[in-house]
Amino acid sequence: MEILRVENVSKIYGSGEAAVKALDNVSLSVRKGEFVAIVGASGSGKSTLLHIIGGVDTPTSGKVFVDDTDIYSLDETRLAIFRRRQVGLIYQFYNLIPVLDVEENITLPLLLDGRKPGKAQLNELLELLGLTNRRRHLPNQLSGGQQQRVSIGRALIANPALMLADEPTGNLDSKNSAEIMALLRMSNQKYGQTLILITHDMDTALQADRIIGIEDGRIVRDEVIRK
Amino acid sequence: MNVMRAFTLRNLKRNKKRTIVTIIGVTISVAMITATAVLMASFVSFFQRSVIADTGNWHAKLMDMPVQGAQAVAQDTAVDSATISRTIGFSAIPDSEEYSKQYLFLREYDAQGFDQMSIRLTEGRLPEKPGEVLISERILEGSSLGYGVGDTLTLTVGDIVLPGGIPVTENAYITDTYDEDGNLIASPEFVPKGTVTLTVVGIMSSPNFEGSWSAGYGVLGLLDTSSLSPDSRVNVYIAMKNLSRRVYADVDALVAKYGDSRTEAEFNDDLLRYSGVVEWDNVYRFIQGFMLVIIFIIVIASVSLIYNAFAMSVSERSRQLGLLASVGATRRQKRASVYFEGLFVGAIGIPLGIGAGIGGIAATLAAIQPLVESFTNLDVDVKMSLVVPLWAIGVAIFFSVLTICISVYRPARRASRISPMDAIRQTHETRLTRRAVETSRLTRKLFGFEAEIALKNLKRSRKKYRATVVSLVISLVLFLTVSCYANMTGEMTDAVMDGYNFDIAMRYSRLSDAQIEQLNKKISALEPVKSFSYNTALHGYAQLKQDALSSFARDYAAHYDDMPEDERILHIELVGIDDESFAAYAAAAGFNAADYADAQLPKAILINYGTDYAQVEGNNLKKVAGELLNLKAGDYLPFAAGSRGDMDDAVISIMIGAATQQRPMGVMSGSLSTATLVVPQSMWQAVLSRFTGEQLRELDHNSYIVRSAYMTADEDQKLVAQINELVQSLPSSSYDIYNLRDVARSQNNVPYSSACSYTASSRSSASSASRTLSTQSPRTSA
Repeated sequence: MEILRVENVSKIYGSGEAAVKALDNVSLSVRKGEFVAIVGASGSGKSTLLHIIGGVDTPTSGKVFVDDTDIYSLDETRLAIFRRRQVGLIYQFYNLIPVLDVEENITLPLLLDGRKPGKAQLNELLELLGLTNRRRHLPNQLSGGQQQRVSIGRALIANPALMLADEPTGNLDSKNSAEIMALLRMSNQKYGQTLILITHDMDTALQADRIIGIEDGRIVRDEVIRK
Repeated sequence: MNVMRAFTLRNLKRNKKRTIVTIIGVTISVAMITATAVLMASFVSFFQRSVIADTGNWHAKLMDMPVQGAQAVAQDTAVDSATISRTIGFSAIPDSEEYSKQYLFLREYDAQGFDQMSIRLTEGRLPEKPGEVLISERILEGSSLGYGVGDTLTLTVGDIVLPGGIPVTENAYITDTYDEDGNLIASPEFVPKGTVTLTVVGIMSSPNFEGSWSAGYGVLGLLDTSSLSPDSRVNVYIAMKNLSRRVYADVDALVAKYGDSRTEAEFNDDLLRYSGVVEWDNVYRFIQGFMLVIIFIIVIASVSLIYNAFAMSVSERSRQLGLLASVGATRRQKRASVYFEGLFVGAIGIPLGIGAGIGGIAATLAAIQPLVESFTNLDVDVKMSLVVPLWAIGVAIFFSVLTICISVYRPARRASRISPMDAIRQTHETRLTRRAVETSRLTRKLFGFEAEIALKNLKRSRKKYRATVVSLVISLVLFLTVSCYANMTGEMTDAVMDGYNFDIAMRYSRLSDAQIEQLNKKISALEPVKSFSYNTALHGYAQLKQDALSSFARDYAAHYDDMPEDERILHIELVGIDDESFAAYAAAAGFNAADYADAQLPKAILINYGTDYAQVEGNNLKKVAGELLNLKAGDYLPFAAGSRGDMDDAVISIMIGAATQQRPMGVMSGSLSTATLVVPQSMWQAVLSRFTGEQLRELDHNSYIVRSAYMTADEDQKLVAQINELVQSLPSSSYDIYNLRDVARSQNNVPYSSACSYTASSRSSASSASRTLSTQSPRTSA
């Protein structure tokens, strides 16, 4: 079943002579439960693609369908609601809210939606992330690995259609990186989460089911390496 | 708790310092708004209480009511309180000393009236049964009747009938009628109608029905309405329960319901005015407008400050807001966060500010109380006290909330527009354009390389640059507004002080030269007196040819002159200043005092300078000043004493010894229609000795001869008190004390002085002040 379809998406920064094409007519499709790695050099456009898929950046042209919804036809408010319900974003620099504690950061998408997280679900998630003892800590009281685990928790809590990770291990040592990748893989396998992950590290990419290579804003490679 | 609120509160807590500063800013702004509203409320209440103390607490007076109707009105649900009043009549005083008061005026109030009509007992008790009366303290002060508490008076009571058969129903000013030549034609007639026996049980201070000009001294008894015959007629003073703009219609309805064809209503305009129910009333509107302007200025000033605080707060949080957006915060949620911050700051700042504002005004009022007392000329004890009505709090809250809303609006909108990408990219620095930013070489030469970098920065981020300029402009505008206002009040004081070179003036009338000399000696020896001058002035007029006027005077005086060209009538003031002061004045002005001592050849110093308000384009008045006459030393200026057509034979010819712009103390800068000649007093006496005794008496009687002492003093109020002590034994009509500084002080307080002129105009010192003033520039034409 197709969960994501990107149709002829282009993204141009600037205008006139100074225009820079970050994405050039990109099309792709992702099935539900797939684990996709996007690889490419710095400035190849992979982060832009991820942001456009996540509904945080807008394409210059083209369409993005998530669960058959054209997300850029939504108004601003519906798009925001789409983000908190359908997308879990994980960034290289964690991007946690510094004034909210671990539990609040994790449950943020639900809280913004005016929902209360289920106690059992939350406890299970905290247990899974190894953050049970840290639930009242603020982000700056945590290590980098722990912070990234909080952001994974935040991406998982709303059970979104898509989980998007932008170099999630880029800022971590190898031990922590392995742990984070294990968590992401587990969420993909155990909960059947669709996962799109950006990396420039081939070892990380090889853990995925499918690898898409991007160069100069174009898809140059798309192969399924595992079924 | 809502996660956005938790987020906002924790950020506020994290930036404690800025939060506290913001709250202090809001507090100060609210305090200023509150203070303005409360101060206005206090002033208005003070005016109201002053009027009530002066006239009594009533909104309307129903005149000539049938007694039953009067009793029914008092019970009407629309009426809060009512006083039934009846005039008994006048009783003549044989050989009364006070010219204007030849009678006693007898009135009765029902029991309610003594309180409602602000009757103030100074001695004894209130009447408890009919036949007992209070007498005005003026009777003790001004007449030789010698009444006191406990006396029984048997009086012949009657009506005063004016020529033409009109009876006098109020305690009004009554005068004889004269023809054009000053011959007595008719006098009011006293028609006795019976005898009453009254017991004096108390003394009251002058009641509202006894003016300084009115014909009778007040005598007030108790009215027993039940003993009145059904066909009696009375007056009713009523205070309405619900006072609104409809008061006029309401009162008319009462008249229609309870009165008859003879009944008429009269309103207490001053009280209604200060109660704000007179539509389009200038005084109330002025006070209100004034308050709103001040609040408006405060709001603008506060917004520019508080706005910055919120803008800063938002830009500090912009990354967090972007992150929230990326996990799905809507625009509304982001905006609400900033509004919640405003709510939080307001919830603390507004109550604090209201408290601080009220406290501040309470302290201010306590501090300025002596000042308020000094410029009230009320002889009643009305204190300017703190009044905090609900509407003032309402006004404060409304404008405070408005201030915060305006301040928050833009930052909130900005917050709502922060996108996830702003947080992810974190590009809030100046966005560089490819366009080269040019700066002139001069900048580099003048201010160095640092200046060039600064200028380039400014040019690249014009938005920031604009914000700086805007806030600079706002502060400049505010500064100018405030200083303009301060300047305006300052000018008002100047307008009073302008042309006056003394602090206190004392005018003598009906005193002998010997008495005056003695008084002058005593007063000039008083400790607060810094300088003292005794001036005598003779007023007259000169008829001049057009070319005797300076070109300046011709230009400006022409606006006011309808006279033919060769008939410029100039008011002349011949001032004699005591020889000692003259010597000092001549020396200061650079003249030889001895030149002015020859009685055979009278010479005077001409003050050749005048100011006036001339009409310039449209209706604007502009103050102009310049030379008055085209005369120089050696020229003669013949003039006649008195006013034109009056005493044309009393002509004096005086040679001009010198012309100057300097004025001795007591000589005010004249208008362009007045020329002042200054001579030593001995010379002045010599000049006047040419007149016949009858001429002199005539001049004196008509105030063409004015004798005044002028002095400067640091402690003006102390000096006035001391002078008052010195002159205690003299009849009060023989002198007027005029404290210029008092007037200047009260002018400084605009809304106050306008009210003062209402409450005090009929009363003692304010009116004497204006009298003194007016005699300084008496009748210029007949």
